[in-house]
Amino acid sequence: MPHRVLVVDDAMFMRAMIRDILVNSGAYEVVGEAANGEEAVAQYKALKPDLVTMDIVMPQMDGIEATREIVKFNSKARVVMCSALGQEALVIESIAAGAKDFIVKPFSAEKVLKVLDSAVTG
Amino acid sequence: MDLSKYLDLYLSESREHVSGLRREIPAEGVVPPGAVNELFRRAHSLKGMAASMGFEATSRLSHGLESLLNQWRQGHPATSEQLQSALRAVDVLDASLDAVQRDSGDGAIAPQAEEALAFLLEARGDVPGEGPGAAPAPGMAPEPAKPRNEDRSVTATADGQAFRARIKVAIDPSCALPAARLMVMAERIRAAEPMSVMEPDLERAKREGIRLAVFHLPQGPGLKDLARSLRELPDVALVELEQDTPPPARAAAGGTLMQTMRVSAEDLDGLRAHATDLLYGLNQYEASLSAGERRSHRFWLESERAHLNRLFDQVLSMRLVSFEVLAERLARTVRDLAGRLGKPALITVSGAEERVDRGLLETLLDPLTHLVRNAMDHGVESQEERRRAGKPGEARLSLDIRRESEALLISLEDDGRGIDAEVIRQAAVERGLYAPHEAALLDRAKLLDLLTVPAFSTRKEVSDVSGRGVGLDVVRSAVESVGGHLEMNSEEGKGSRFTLVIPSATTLTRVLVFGWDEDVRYGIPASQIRHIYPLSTFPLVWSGDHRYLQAGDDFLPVLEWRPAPVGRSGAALRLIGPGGDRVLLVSSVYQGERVVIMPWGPPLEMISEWMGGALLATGEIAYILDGRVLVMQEGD
Repeated sequence: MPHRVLVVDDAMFMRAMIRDILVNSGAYEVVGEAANGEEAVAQYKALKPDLVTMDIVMPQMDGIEATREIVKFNSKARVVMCSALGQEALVIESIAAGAKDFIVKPFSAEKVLKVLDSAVTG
Repeated sequence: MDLSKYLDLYLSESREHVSGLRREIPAEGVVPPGAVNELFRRAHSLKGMAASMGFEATSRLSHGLESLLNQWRQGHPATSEQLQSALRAVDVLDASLDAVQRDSGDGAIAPQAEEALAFLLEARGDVPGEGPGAAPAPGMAPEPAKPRNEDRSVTATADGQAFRARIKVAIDPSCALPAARLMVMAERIRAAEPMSVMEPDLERAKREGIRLAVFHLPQGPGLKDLARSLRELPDVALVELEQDTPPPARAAAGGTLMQTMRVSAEDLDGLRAHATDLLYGLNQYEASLSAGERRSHRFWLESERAHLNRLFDQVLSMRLVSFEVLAERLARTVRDLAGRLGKPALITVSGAEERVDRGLLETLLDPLTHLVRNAMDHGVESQEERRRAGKPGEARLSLDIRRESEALLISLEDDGRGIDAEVIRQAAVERGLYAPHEAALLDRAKLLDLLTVPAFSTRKEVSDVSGRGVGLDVVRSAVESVGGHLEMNSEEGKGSRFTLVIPSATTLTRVLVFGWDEDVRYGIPASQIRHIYPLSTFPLVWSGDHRYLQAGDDFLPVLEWRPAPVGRSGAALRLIGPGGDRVLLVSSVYQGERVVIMPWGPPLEMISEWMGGALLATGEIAYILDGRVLVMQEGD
């Protein structure tokens, strides 16, 4: 049974890309999408997905804050940050906030899946 | 049961104990109470091992020795006969190991062992309640109060910070956020083992872009699984789990953990050659990179180089052995000759803890044995003659090993009759080496030097009369073969001293690499340099015909050696001199590096300020200067 994923990114393009990678793998299904932190938290609470991919820089509530909220709601939540180059400090902050791992843009399908596979089982 | 596979183990462990016994049993005087337990334990271990291997003579003799030591352990002071008999037993035990090594059995030494055992029993005498019959039977001997193994495990667990396992991780160079990756790993590890400590810490890893880390952990059952799950993470180039071997559950009766193993010198040489090749290859690789690549690979390059340097050092240090092995052998020769020639003699050894390259030690064995034999044979007078000369009946020999600056000095001194220079003078004329009027002009040093001339020294009549000479040419050529020289001092009636001066050829020397132009690299041992002054800040001043470097209140004379124009971008190396420091002006200072200095062969070695050449890590050759000689040469 595929793992249920919530994809969070303010750019639809990025969400589409991630969705394709996930769906094509056959191991994941995208159960929800969110374009900012507040939506993400609400969606998480409603959908209780197995995994969240979380963009860091977003309007309203950023990914770090959203991660903090989600982990507060479910300490076992599995959140993987989507980062760009040069955001190391933010990624480290996210991990401190409870994120399990991170992927770096530009995404390669192989690497994304490797990270997600490891996060979903670890 | 096939015991042959244990033979190497038996030999290496037993040798350790025999060496220990020899080191710790004094030739005379009092055995320190603290040492007795250790001695007893050694004899006991030897006995147990020999018995397990079926070496009966060895095991009987160690049992006899153990019984004597047990007697000391119970507070009976060691008599001089007992000490002698114990040392003799140790000699035979040593010989038994040679026999075992040669023909896998100790049968060859059985007669000597019986003899030595008889001596032991005789020397033991009849201590009330401690007759030979009361000696502990094999396997029933009282155990030393505290077996070593136990001690170790106690200290390790009493320490709250006992990290016994390490996970080393390396992040793949393609990973854009290595510190974040390290943090993910740190979190995973912490989830499994909250006590873990990461080195370097995350802050530093982030700041410096470090991609390697070590996690220190207490030992636990889940570590293998943890390491496996870490390997599954992305961007991970390497995950290595290291666990300290748990302390042995069995605090064996008299048995000890195998702590050393024998490795052939050839294997070590091979290892060293590979380490050198790797280091060289890394430097070549680095040289082929562009500046940008070098910057982005800096951390990898540096950490690889640090690893290789450590490997290289470790291999070199494995080749180092303590001088004790050789010193013990020489002491044995003295004891042996003292008995055979009827000339009681005592040898004292100092500095035997000095560690030298194994190959060097092997080269020195023959010449030093020669010198000891010479001293006992010819130098030391008969007891009667000594008494007539007002000397103590027992001759004194001393073997002294020490380091002076970069050189190793080994001297053997005796209090024998010394060398009669006139006899050498006469013989020189007789042999047609010098005309009488020429010979009359030769000073003492020159005459002594004649003893090392091959055609001269082998003349038996000379050596017999002069008291010295047999094989001195051999000694000299052996020392010279490792780039050293032989110094002789002898005073008639008082004794002689022979000093082997060995340059640091086979050890690592830290040198500062510098140059006067782009093409050629020079070096000076760092131990000879007190300070480096940049000429941009420290001015040169003239006074009369001399230039001085002004460093605070100090005016340091400039060495006008090979004067080359040195601009303000250059530096002054302050060389340590016995009569005051001097500075050498150089155009550029490159780096400090640990090198093996290879002495030049003749005739270059005659130019005394040159110590030799060295291969730098970059593959270049550096010419190594002797700072001490430079400073002296310039002396006004």
